[in-house]
Amino acid sequence: MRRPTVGHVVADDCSNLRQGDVVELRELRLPVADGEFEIVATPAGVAILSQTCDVVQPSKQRCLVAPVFAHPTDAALSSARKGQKPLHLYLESGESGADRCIADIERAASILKSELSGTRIMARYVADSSGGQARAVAWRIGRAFSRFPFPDEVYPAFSRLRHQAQEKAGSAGNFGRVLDLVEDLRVSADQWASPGRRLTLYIVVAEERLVPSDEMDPNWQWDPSRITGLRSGELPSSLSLDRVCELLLANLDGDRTSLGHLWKTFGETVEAKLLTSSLDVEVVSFGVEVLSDSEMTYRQYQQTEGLDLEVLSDSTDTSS
Amino acid sequence: MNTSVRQDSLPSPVPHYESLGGQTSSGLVKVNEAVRSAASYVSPSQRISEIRALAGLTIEQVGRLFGVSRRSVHNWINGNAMAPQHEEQARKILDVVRSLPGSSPDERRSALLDSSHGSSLFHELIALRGEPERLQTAGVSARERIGL
Repeated sequence: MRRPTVGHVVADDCSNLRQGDVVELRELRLPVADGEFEIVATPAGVAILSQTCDVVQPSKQRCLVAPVFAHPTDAALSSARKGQKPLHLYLESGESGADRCIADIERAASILKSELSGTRIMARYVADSSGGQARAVAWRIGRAFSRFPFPDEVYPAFSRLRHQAQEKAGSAGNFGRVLDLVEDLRVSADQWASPGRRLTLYIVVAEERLVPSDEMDPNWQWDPSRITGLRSGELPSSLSLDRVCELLLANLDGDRTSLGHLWKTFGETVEAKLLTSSLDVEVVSFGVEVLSDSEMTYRQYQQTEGLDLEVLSDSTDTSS
Repeated sequence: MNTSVRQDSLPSPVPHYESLGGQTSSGLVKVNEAVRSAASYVSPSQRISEIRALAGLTIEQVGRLFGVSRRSVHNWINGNAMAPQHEEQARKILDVVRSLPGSSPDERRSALLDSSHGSSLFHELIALRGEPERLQTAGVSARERIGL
């Protein structure tokens, strides 16, 4: 981290700026009705949304910035960190020691780079322009614009899934802890346009935690001697979601084959306990496939969209 | 399983030495070392074929041991060169496979995949391979995305 950058002024050509930087620009002109502009005070500065290469590129005249909320509440910061409002860009300190903040992408504006030159850099959230923090900031900015527009008709099914998950598992239970081990949740449909959709939920797990079937121990059996914590007589089909998750967590560092079978049972239980009840005329089937990140093909990735129940809303919802 | 090995991918083996005519004793040693080195050279194709023959692994499984596609494995078998990091991994895999107990590919494969004591040898080999840096990451966890 080149901390001395914070507090310095923006160079004439903006060559020392990065995406995610917060710059001390005190006001922003936002277009309003009838070609008029509103002058918005930005006492907490503005965040740079443009990609770093575009910011520093001399041929680019303009830069996209978003006002930073002054004095965000802890609840607002928590909500933004969880991505509940994608237009609220959460920026966290990382190594810089800068305070966490939220930039309001809804009020983003394109300004001339010359307006930024000479202003003070108030905070830097990306230590290395090609590092992990840069990717995280870029991902959050991209997420505000690039989410697949799920049709309104599937929203009730997703909503019931979310309700079931919260009711049956809660936020502090084993289900949540297992979800912390999941790399990605993605969903596909045979078609999205008409009723009768057949959906598949892909639960993507790191290869280190889910070995492919052909790498499993061929002599393995569902038995307490191979599954830590399994009681005699417990069968996969008789386990509750919480119990499957409890066993999965108890076997994380043990037999990879046992863990693989428990992930399979997890998928089957999620389908039976959480997804079946979400079906209706719009979504007539909702299956689950648990697979490792090395098994998911690029084609599957293209056919799926990240499932993000926190930001789903139908187009008639004006609450957010 | 086809275990034939292409011989035409051997590198030009013997480096040129000033003393190639055997003028000095030290020169002769160098020449002998070079010849021995060439004779003991095992091509990527030979290594992959031996790994598959001994342990009965599929092309896909071999690919996972290296973190590469099936196409890359086929290319190696057909004589394409390996990157240095893959050559190193191939040597390690072959050492392990050669030391497996059992008298048939099935028995050796079972020993390689035996996970009764935790991680199998197969997965310990996977853990040795190098990985490119991950560029695609999800900034919001699965727990948060499901609303918990």
